[in-house]
Amino acid sequence: MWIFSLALKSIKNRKFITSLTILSIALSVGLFLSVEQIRRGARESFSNTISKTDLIVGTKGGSIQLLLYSVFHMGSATNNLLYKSYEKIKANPAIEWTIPYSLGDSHRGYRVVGTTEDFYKFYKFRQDKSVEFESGNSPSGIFDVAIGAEVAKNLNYQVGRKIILSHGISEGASIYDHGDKPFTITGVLKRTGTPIDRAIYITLEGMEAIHIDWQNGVPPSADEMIHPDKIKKQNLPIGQITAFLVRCKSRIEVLKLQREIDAFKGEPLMAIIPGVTLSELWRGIGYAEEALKAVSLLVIAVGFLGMLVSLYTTLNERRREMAILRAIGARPVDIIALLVFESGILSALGVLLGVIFVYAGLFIFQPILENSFNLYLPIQMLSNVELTYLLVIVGAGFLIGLIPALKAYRNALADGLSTKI
Amino acid sequence: MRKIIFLALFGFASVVNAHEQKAHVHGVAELSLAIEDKGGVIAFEAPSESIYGFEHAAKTPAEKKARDQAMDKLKNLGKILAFDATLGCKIQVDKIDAFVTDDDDDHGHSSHGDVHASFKVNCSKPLKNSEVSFSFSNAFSRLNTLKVQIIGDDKQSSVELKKGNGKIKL
Repeated sequence: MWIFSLALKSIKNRKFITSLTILSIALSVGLFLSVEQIRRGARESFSNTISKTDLIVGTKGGSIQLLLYSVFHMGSATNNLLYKSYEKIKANPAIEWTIPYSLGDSHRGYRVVGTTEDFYKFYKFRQDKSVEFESGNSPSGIFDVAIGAEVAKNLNYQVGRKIILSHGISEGASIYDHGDKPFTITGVLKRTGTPIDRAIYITLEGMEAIHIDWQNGVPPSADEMIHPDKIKKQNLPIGQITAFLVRCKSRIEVLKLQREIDAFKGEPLMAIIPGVTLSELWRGIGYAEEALKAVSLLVIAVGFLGMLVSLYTTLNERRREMAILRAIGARPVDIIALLVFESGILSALGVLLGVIFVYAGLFIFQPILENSFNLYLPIQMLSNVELTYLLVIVGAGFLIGLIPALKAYRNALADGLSTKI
Repeated sequence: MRKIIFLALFGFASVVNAHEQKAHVHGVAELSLAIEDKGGVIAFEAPSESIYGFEHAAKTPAEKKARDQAMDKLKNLGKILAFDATLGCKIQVDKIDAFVTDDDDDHGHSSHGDVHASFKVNCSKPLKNSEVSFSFSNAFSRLNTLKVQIIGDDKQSSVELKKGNGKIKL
């Protein structure tokens, strides 16, 4: 035990160099853990966005594109599907509920989603959570709109305010505005930690209404324009939607329904199973994740190398110290133990500090990541895998101590005691 | 920054999509397992070449024998796909098609043929959170990969099993 306290004292005695060593190990461990945490957080936040949805139906194309634009509001659809196809599929007795989405417009960079009352009734995220209202209620009139929590916060909008939607999806000012048909905010949604927070919800009729007088993709001239007061819900047939979500009465029916939709006669449609498509996406990204992980492990190796260098170079300065220890009765084994303990303590402290760095970082950056990337990183305990890695790292720290220890062990006693140093 | 993330995802998306579509890839079979409480359905699809060695309707007696032997193995799916024994599951054959060609082929004959099979599963206990083990390499040595899709009430996933062997939690 005296060796352990001697190792501690020896570390204390060389505060500057040892704290640098600890810092470099802490930073490398921190990097490694951050990669893991972000990976886990990103996966959870993606898979928490949509629950209880068996199928997402869109026009034929890439399944991951369909998942990204319909649920995560990333990218855009290549094609719309006919509303009558939707109604035909919806009539299938195997279906419990559907939620139609009509996409393509935006408001100051936030996506506008045309949908129905079913969205507020049936949409589930984080297993079984429903969409709720912070204030107001769901849009019912043609020019009513409900906004996500983040939209409300960032643009400082409240219920009752009038807003103007833009044609197309752009971050800044858009080319075409639907300025002739302003919308009134009737509801603000509660924060969900999903892309819902960053979206604006109108009715399917609303989506049709703002494009009713458009021709060939350009806005109407002043005399062709139809005044919003003249537009009534009854005479607004819905022509097309972008995608729709499906929940089956039983999971048993899902595969059969998916096959039926894939072979739909009216137009080329496809149905994807969101969780399955997400797994495919992760498998694709898996290589990049592995590469990142490898890089962070290499950084840890570099940290260790730094420790080895610092221990090894101090050995020359400490020849006399070792010799005196030997002279007062320390066995060679004690010298080895001293250095092994030193390097072990350094790596353990480094790992500990690294963990503190990561949690402090999570604490500070969590709201920033959530606001700007919609990536909700839960602050959670280290996983068993991470703990195992950390134990291995500390173990490796002890092992690395053996290298300078053996060198010290070999240094002759007489060599250390002679006065030439 | 969000754009970068999006671009990265989309880049990968196109890579993944390349083999995500229901394509006819030799050596790759797809198995979907949908479960609800104590029951489930299994759908199996594979290029016929990967199952019995050739890709045309069986003509010679030797070919017919090879095909029938492979179909017998599929009929006894329980031997290569095992549910937890304590659940008391029974697998029933719903339908097996030894040779299905692509209808859309304009030339009247198709160079690709698939084996399609579907099964029903009935158990005495709920399947949720149980483990299923696969040992497809014993029966179909030409398979390189078995893509398994799991569709449950609160869990959906897709796993690739090398050589068709491995375990998956439901």
